[in-house]
Amino acid sequence: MTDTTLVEGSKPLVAVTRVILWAFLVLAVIVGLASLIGGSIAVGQQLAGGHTQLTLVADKPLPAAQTHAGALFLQGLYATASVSVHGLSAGVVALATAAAIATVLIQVSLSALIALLAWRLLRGGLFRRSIARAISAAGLVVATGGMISQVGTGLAAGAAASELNGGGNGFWPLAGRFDPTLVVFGIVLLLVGLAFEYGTRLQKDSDGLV
Amino acid sequence: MSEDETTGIHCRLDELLEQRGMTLTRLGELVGVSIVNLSILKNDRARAIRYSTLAAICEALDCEVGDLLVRT
Repeated sequence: MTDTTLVEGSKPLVAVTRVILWAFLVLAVIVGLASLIGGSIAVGQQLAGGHTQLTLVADKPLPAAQTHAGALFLQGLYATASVSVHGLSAGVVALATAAAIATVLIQVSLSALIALLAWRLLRGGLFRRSIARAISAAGLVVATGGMISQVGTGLAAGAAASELNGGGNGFWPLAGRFDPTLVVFGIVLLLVGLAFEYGTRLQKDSDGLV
Repeated sequence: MSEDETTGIHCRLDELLEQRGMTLTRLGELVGVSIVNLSILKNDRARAIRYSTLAAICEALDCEVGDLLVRT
């Protein structure tokens, strides 16, 4: 059995599917490059300028002015605040930078994976060891990067809040947020990588089968 | 077994078809196997064969398994 394109079906369906796959491929490459360039510039500026971009826990009530006629505003609060902070200690800056780098790596690896899968679906030969390894590698990057990103961001936010408060109780709550979505997604990708390893073995078994 | 390694099995499909005056296309229609796969079998590039394919070919060509497949 030779590697043929995996896109099959009626001619219009194949044409539409190929267009969608090409769109995914091109978009993934553009997003990956944009993430890499944009992320590198942001990290560079952060390190060179000493301005750290953070999302702090805010936990402040919304002003009553948010009530509009016709719809009754009951209650709500600002949960987070995007801030730019100057003069943070080196440890906090290092944590925030590590989190930012991890986020860029996640974006780039996911974009590369989407581009690779779209390319393989167009060209055929999806169940290859290289694809299985690429999925597992992306899963590892997303899981560990997600952990570093979330823990780094959370710790940096808490420490930055403490420094902004001047050590005592102040405007900023001493808290950080942790969203496990990326870590879970990375673990799912690792499992998908294992499934592809199994699929690769099955593909090898059926190659040349008549 | 690597891709290039031979199986040591020769498929006598060419000879049997010639003896019976049958084309590969006709055999494909009779056994429900694509020409591509029958060509792979004919040219000794197959690495495995289903019992169902083997039985169908033997029935269509009225031969035994040993007539179709021989060791080289």
